Amino acid sequence: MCRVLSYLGLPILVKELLYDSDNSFIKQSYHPQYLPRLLNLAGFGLVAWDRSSHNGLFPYIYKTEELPFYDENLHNLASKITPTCVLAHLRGVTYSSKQVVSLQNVHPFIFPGSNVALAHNGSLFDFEKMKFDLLKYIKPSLKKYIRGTTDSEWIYAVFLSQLPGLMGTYEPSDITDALLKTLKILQKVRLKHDIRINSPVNLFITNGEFIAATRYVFDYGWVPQNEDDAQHFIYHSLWYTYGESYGFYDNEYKMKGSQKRSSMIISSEPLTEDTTTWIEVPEYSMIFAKLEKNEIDITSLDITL
Amino acid sequence: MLDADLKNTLLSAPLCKYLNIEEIQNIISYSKFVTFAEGDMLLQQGKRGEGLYIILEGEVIVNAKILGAGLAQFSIVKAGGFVGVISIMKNNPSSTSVIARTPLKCLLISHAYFEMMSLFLPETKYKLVRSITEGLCQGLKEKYPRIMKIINKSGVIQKSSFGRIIRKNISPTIFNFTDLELNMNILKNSPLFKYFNEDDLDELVNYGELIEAPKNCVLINENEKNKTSYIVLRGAVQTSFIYKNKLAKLIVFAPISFFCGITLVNESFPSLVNYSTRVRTTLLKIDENNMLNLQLANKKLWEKIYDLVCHSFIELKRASNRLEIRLNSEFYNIQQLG
Repeated sequence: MCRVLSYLGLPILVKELLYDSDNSFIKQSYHPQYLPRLLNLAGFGLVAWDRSSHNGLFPYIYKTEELPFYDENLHNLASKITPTCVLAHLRGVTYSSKQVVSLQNVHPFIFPGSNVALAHNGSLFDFEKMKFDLLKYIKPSLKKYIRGTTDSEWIYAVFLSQLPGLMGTYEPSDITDALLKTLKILQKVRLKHDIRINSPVNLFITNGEFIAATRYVFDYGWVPQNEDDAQHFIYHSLWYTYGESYGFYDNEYKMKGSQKRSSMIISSEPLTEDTTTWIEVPEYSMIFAKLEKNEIDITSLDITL
Repeated sequence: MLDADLKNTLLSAPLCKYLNIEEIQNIISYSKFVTFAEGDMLLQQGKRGEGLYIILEGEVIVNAKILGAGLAQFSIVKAGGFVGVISIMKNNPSSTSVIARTPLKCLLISHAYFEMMSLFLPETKYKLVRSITEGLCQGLKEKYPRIMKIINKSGVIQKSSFGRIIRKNISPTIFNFTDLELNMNILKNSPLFKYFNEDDLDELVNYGELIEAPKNCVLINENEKNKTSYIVLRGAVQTSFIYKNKLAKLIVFAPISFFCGITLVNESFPSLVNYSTRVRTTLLKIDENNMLNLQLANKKLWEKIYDLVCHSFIELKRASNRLEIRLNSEFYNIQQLG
């Protein structure tokens, strides 16, 4: 059911995040530790910011519906670029011919005219019933950019519509308030349609200057009686680590120097099997991290709707 | 053959406080005596250990790599003490490293033997689990003021007193089993009840009542002496430390899980933790009287339930460790949302 990775901090070779550790991001597509029964094979996407690149406020974007572990282009690209902010997503969907695997459905989503990107780990139960009621919460100028069939893209459109602007420098409260408003809108529309089934909403947001994530489930613990696959109904994990820099130190991949906070990773699961220097974000929370004067400030907030 | 001094250490060890001499002899027969030189590692943080070590001679240091603080020393455990609770109860990677501070002699109770005790020596296992649980609760009690001090000093926003009063007055609804079908399969298939047979589950359900609690219903209040136990069937129960209306979340108990107040373990302890529903939640509630009746009427079932009690406090202890780290790393709840 999807894996997501976000990074903020010192320039990092993307290959070190995607390929190199014992629970590397690409490995999570076929061997996730925390959702082992559902593989993430329905597409890979990445956005990455390097301010020294042309039009530095906007990220590199790479998306493919192919299997990322066979993707030589991705590996070559990852071996070259050293961004300061990354958001990557592996799409995991149930194995059904009804699923649409396409480039339009690959996260992260980033609409033209904005440099805010969103990726989602989770699924809104009975989304088809409720989606058109979200239209009134989406700015008219953004509606036309919804091209895929995912609930995640609609969530992105709603979220973007709650921000003071599509671009710019945001205060932490701009992002956290917009996230909360988005969740409240989703809750309201679900209630209208009497949808009361477990629906995880782990959202990851960034614009290259901050990373933020929610760990939230609507109606947690309410699973349809006849549902065979329980993977969608567990509380999706969310972890983070921080330190001076992430890399290969003392024969293992880890964040070095945790007393200094110049780099941070927020992800669905740790990138290493040894999780001792990772912390799990509590349920019903959001976390926001921004680099201020070479130090990452981390704010966490309980989500109460 | 165990020499007299080591035997006395074992007999007076907190872990063995409920065991009789025959039970201790049984444990010794199936456990292993191990020795360590100074500096040797018994347990490594992040790796699965071999089991539980009872320190017979010598001392160990318990430390851990903590995010944001580097290597932190937690405690020194001396002869009579024990380490490796996570290894033996959950067979999970250890959350700390344990290193011999002096030359050591230990008794190692392996995870495999401990599991076997459920089948062949359930009463002995129960007594060990009881001691472990009391140790966990004592540890939580000692940690609580430290965490509360951090919360109090931090910028954590206070919740509204009015809101708290409203929530205290939200009550669950009791259902008859005919009104709300209890799907026994969800209990039978849950890993939590792997040692419970069908008769055990039927009897457990008979001691309980099915309730549906709306969102924000307080099931166990902090500072309340409450011996009621609950099994979450559907929904979610949030646990928190609350101090002067400042709230810090611990973990969520989801389906299928068991929890109870600390008073069930130690009558003199009021609850340190607030347990409230996050969403509409269906639970099997076993009140204090029925817990006592069950304990008297069906010792074997009680022993199995006590395992669940221990597991719930292990999760709370882990969550409190995480909270302490987070409070030292994050600006937590300093902003009013919305």
